[in-house]
Amino acid sequence: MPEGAGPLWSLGGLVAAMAVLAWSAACLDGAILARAAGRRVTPAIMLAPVREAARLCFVQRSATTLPDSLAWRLGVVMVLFVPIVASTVIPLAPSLVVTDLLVGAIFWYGIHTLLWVGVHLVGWSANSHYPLVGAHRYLAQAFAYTMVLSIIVLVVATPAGTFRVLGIVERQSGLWFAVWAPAAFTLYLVTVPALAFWTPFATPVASDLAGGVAVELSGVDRLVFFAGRSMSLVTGAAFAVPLFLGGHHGPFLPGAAWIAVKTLAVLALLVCAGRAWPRVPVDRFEEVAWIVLIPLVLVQLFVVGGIALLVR
Amino acid sequence: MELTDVLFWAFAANGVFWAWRIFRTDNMVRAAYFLLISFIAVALVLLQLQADFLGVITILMMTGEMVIMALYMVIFMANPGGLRPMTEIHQIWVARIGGWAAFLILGGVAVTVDWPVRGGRLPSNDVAQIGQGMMGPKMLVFITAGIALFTTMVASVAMVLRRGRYDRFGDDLSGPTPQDPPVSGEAQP
Repeated sequence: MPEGAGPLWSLGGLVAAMAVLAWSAACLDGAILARAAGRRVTPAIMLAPVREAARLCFVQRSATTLPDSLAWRLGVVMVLFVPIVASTVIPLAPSLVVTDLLVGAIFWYGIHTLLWVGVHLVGWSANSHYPLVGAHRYLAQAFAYTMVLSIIVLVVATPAGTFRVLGIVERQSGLWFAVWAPAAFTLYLVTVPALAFWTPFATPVASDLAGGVAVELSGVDRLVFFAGRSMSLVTGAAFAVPLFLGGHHGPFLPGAAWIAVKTLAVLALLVCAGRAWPRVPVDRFEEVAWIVLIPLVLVQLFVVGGIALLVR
Repeated sequence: MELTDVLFWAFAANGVFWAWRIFRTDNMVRAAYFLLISFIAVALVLLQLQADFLGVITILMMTGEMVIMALYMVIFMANPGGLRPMTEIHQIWVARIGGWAAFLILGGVAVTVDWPVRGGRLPSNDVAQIGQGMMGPKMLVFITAGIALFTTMVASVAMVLRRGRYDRFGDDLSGPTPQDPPVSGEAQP
């Protein structure tokens, strides 16, 4: 099944790196919120996510009337594990990938689709109104971003001639795909927060629904759910590096360092943009996605495909 | 038995077991997700056959389909939230006879056919091979099927659409902003 697999420790390294990135995203988000509230940003803000996580571990879980408990737990666990499984195809160093699949780019996108099931199960199984409405919001958002994202994967795979992530990176030893396909790169940065229901696409868990999908989540369930949401944002940011930013290619520094620098830069950009942009209503995003974004990314596909044919 | 055999039987057993559970549950959403588990088991068998592309695409497409199915079931059900039990089966005898007949015929084919032994080597790139198959000698079939499916989708959406663009932007589509009913839904036509 895999064309090659990295050593077992690479999986541990991947999960540890994702956890650190999720923590740094939470720190940056907290710092932005603190500044917006007029408070001073101190290094203590870096402890806040850890403290909140520890608190959630010891809080007693609340219950709803007649939930589908098994599906509820399963949904929460899926929200955490789906992004981790999807990111196993992302290169960690010049030739170090946990699973090196010929169809790696499709694997990332396809496995991430299981997040829909996770979020829908969390919203549906609680037997409560607001979580269900939040889950439906997320699915509506999903049907808006998913076609854009799938065509973006094709935009990158067409000039590379392969879905293999290392092959896509190799093709960018000269010019990055972010330069080849600027529209696709920009739209990728829009679809990732939509996929991760991160701000400004956080309406599935927004305050106008009293917390949406997550209303009834408490204790360790809440921790796992929101950790999973951060992991989705992290894997989206990390996957931008091999897709658009030349992977490990770069001068002076070793390849792994370039991957880390680029991932952090994309993650910081997404978190900052998330707080700079007003909340995007799902119905408006749906209309914009189908009427503007999908035709735009299709034009991008034809342009990139044409150039790839000419260059070959 | 090697590890591959153990995995194959595990995937196959899961595929059958969850397909059976679909008809024993009293809940539509659970039925949809049991069907998804069954499909994922089939996708894992495809991955075992080293048909990576087909396996991953099966997971991707079936997840999307089953989520949409579960979503619309909750929306259309007379049962708020969809967590209360209700009967999920009808036409029991037709289904029993049809199901057993299909199982025996297909199973009989699988057991009795003299399957060919794999010749040559695995293709280095099965994605390219599938693409050439679809857009090469079989192009007419796939393009026709694609257009038929697309026409069906457009036609069914056009038939169920309550408010099209002429309702939203005026008869000559010249309205600057769409005239939509309030989002909360109290003024639905």
